Amino acid sequence: MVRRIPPAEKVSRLLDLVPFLYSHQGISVDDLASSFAVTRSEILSDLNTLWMCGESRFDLVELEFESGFVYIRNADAVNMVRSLSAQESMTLLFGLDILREDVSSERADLISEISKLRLLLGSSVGTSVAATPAVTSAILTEIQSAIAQRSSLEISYHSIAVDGISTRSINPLELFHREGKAFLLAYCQSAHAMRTFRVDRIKSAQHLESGEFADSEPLLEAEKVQAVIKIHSGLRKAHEVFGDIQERVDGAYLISIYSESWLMREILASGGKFEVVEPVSMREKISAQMIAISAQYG
Amino acid sequence: MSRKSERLVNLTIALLATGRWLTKSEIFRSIDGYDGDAEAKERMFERDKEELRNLGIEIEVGSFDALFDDEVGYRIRPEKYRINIPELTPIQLALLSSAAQSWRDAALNSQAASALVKLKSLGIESDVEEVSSNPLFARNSDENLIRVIDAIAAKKSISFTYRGSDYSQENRVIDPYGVGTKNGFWYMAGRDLDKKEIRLFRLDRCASEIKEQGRANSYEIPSEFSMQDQLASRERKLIATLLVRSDKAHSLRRYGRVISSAEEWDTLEYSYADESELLSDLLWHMDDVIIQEPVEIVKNVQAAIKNIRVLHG
Repeated sequence: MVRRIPPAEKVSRLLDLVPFLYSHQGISVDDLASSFAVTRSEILSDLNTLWMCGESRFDLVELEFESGFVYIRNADAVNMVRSLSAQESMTLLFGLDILREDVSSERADLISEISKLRLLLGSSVGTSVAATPAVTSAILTEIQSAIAQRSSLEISYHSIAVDGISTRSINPLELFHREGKAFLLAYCQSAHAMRTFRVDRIKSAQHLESGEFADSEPLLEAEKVQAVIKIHSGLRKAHEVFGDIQERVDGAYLISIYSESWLMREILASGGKFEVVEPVSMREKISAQMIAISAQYG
Repeated sequence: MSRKSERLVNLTIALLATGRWLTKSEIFRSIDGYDGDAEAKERMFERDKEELRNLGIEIEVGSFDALFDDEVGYRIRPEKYRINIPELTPIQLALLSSAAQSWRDAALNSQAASALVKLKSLGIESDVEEVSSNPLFARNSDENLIRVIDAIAAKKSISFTYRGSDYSQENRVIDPYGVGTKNGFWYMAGRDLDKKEIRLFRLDRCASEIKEQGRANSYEIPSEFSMQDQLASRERKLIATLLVRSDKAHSLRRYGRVISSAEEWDTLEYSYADESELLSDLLWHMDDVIIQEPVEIVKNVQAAIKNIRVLHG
């Protein structure tokens, strides 16, 4: 189905086409379409409309594009770059904030340029926008896509315990948040065990060639286990922590998890809002753990 | 449909090219598409002005002679139409291009593309060599993000349903002030019209489409508002004393100071912002952490432990 373009969007593009074409005389129709992020037929329809515009019906914009390359003449009155809309400014501001995190701290010159640009664009909307992805934005993105694609990552990780950076290959399984911090549960190929990583301590993350995951860890899919929990309160939190949860007829929820010890910690951290029903062995472990902690308080 | 776009472009050209006020009758005469009786033309013209205004094009209304109640005229001032950015350097342009590209295939892709087109039309060479060509990606495809920034741009109130902590859906109406991202989540802040105060909302907790309501420019964003402040972490003003098993609980150590160590335990002076958060963090660390002070929290931890034990007994 052809998308119906609202007139405002089309007018906006037609007006932006004029100064763009003046500064890019002879651009190919395909390059023009991709610059405006529209299809070839949409841009051709725009050019056909623009052709019918002008200061008067006897003084129309002159366009030539039959050759596949576009030339413009006689549109001086609108050969002006329009002001950025508030939405465009906000979009660029987000992009600049994100970019600042990506620029190496050695490039103080670029960071200062980014700050200047932020001031330049932000006259009216600057305070409405704040992207503070910390170091985690790029890495989170890599992790999310690795989880979605079930692919492996090579990460360099700052381990506080040994206070050093190590490189590990991991299979990321779940992202979760504690104390407003992002954590990653993953199978660590280097340690041959499940590990929890603080995302802000992951200094870099790179996708490994596809296939390695399946080759090295063919059983991983099978490791996902099901559990049944009761949610006494905090249902939203349960949705956010456990992801896809399904309510059963008895009101308890079926969840799929990768790690029992992770589930146990989440159940404990809920402080009694969540209760494990099955597996029964897990209930016993929790109960035993509670007795152990109680004993510590004498 | 394309006749309408044509008419709007022609109207813009005419109002920009004129060095004086154009009257309505002159506009109707010189621009194709204003058909029908006087009333129909009038309605069409009013709608067209509104459409251009929504595109950010200011049409000025003025009179030929202020002393007489003359017919009004219309024009667009080129200096208001034109982008008002001082000369950009090639590096600045490259940075802006890179910033725009971070929205590729994400929610604000088309806003980024149109911004980029404008910047490229300035005729400045971009120094791409200097700037990484592989920017981070915003990777948010939530269409509600577009709706919020549209509403902020137009200063329109918005309504939506929001998931409460019990997952129930509540209707909210706010005047949106800002949008931002932190720790991988996207937030909007605005004045909640029922609660009469500024509230922060997580976009992924909106259960419905965000809808604009009411008129444009129905509120102003207070000058002291800052999205960055809204997203700032709460200050950790409170202090607890924790016993932490050596080599464990690294996430807690970040906000603590080891004041003494004995055998397998370190004593940690730990700063926190919120009691329920602390409680939850202590429990998460199971038997690797013991809280010693404040006494009330020790009691609460013991009560929670008992509660969990009873639940699972």
